Order: sequence, then structure tokens, then C-alpha cells
Amino acid sequence: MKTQLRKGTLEMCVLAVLAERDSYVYEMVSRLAESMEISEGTIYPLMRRLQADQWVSTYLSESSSGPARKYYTLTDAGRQALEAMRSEWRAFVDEINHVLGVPSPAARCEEEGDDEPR
Amino acid sequence: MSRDEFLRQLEQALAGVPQAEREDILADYRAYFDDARADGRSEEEVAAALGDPARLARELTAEHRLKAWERHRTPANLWPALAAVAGLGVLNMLLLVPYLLFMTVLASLWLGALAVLLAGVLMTGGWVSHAVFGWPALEERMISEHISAPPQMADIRIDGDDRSVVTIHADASGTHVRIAASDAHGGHVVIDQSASGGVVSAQDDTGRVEISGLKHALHGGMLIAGLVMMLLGGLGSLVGWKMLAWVWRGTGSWLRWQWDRVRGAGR
Repeated sequence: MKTQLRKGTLEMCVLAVLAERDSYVYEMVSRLAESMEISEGTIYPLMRRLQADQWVSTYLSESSSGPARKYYTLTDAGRQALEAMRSEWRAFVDEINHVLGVPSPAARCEEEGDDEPR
Repeated sequence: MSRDEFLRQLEQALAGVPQAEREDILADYRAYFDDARADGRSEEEVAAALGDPARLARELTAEHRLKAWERHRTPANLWPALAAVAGLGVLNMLLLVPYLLFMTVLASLWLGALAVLLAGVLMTGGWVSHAVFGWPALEERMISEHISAPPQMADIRIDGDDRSVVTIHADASGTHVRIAASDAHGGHVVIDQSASGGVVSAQDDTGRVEISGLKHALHGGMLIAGLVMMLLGGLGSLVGWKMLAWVWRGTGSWLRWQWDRVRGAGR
């Protein structure tokens, strides 16, 4: 279950990491690995596919140590795709939370908002 | 596995990818190893984390070929893509057989419709050319409308030694000719032409073939036949082409779907 979910969402997570700032593969992997369990081998083929789909583009940038690094940056199409994925994800999580009886973050915010004026 | 060993195996397994792309991939992995070393990780640890280079290469190759096929949907690009995805072990090859059969039938039907269209164009063109330039001389190319026979020609009968008989009969009105040959064992060949149409039949002791209704092809009939064939052939070609294109695109989506399943497998 967890593996299946992760597989489908890795793409979105990579795009989200890149939305924060341009990055190179090793840095992306390290940042993702801080908060989630990922298999390093999957990232590179994924990046090639994202690049082929023109959701990301690359440029070379001098690094402090060694040769120039290949940086990845989100394209407009990639940014749009990420936004679409984000809203889909939120709707999905809300649905599942509703079924599981977990109050969704949005609902919680509303409750707190309602409490305040009283 | 050391960094060099990993890169060597990867390079070897990437033989199916164009050199420029292979170099690009290898350079990226070299950079990855360098970054990891700067991060204080050992080569062995990184190689293990990256996974089996052969499998990685199979994925990259399949991805490359799928992309090539999606850019140019030619049969030459389809087979490598199919093979590459199949090589990853999830593609059901049994599904491929009915699919190929279906494609073949569809393609033949389309070619048939094209042939009808072409024949229609030629017939119509021939008729127009005949009407305008008097060429081609259509009469000579078709069964004659009028049978030339001398008036009151007597029936001709030739009896062979082995009880075979050939008869030629021509009607006095010049509208009916019958040529028949038969042998002792009941076999015969008949060519019969009258105003109502022609009959060609052949029979031996095992069976009989008869072609009847050989009407005279009239010039107007040729034009109509040509136009009808053009219409039907054109429609058939269009529909066939649309269906082929649809199935062809479907193949790409199906491959992509299969590929997406493969890519996630074993993680």
C-alpha cells in the first residue's frame, strides 16, 4: 500500500522540491530523503522522463567544488502540472480522511475559525 | 560494487541507446557518485542504493524507445519499444498475437479499399480521357457489344478421335455465340455469349466452375462503376486510415500504460 502510494506521488514530490528552488539530482534526493523513504535509483529515470515531458529543464551551473553541475528547474508546464497534482492530492486526502473518520486539515481550520469569535 | 564497476555495467547495458544520450546518462551518474562522495558516502553504499545497473539501463532504454515511438509513430519505432517494454517482463506477449492479427486484417482492408479507390480513379480517368481525347480506345478493351459473325453461318462441329467434340454455333441475328468443347468423360468447357450476358463454364468429373452474367461493359456503366468505386474506395480508405491511426495511437497509450506499471514494479 505504502509502496504503491509512494510510487504515484514521487513525481509530485520531486516537482514540489523543485518548485522551492532549482536543484541537482543528489540534492533533490537528499532533501526528499530527509522527510520520506525513497529509493535513490528511481529518481534519475524519473528526471529524464520529466525532462522529456518538458515539465523540467536543465542548465549547467558552476559549483564551488569540481565541474559544473546540472541543475533542474521547473518549466511553466511543470508548475501547472504540480498545481493540478496538488489540488488533486488534497481532494483525494480529504476523501480518504472523510471515510476513515479523520478530520481533514481544512475542516479542522474551519472549526477553529468558528470557535474564535465566540 | 565500486563506482567504476557500476558505470561500466551501466554503459554496457545501455548499448541500445544512442551514444550522445548514453554519454549524458553516464555523466549524470558520475556526477551523482561525486556528489555522494562529497557527502561522505562510500562508493559501495551509493551503488547499492542506486540499484542494479542492468535493470536501470533496461528502464532507461525502454523509456528512450517509448519516447522515440511517441515522437514518430512508425513501425520501425514500435518494435524496439515493444521489445524493450516486453524485456522488462510485464508485457503480456500473448496479447500481442491477436493484436498483430487485428492490425494485419485492418491494414489489408485498408489497402483493399485503397486499391478500389485507385481502380475507380483509373476507370473514371479513362472514361474522361476517352471522352475528351478519344484515348484509350475503350471498345477494343472490352467484350464487344456486337458479335461479328457472317449471316447464316453454319454450325461447326469437330469430332475428335477420342470421342471429344468441339462445336461452334453462331446465331443468324448475330446476338448469340456458343463455343463448346467436351471430352468422352463428360468434361466440358463452354463459352456462351448472348444479348442477356455471357457465361463461361468448365466441368470435369470432379466439379464445375461457372461464371455467368458477363454483361457488356457500356461506357456509361464504366463511368458509373468508376465513380461508385471512387466513392466506396475513398470512404473505405478514410475509415480504414482513421481506424488504423486510432489503433496505432492506442498501441502507444497501451505501451505507456504497461510501462508505467513496469516502472513502479519492484520498488
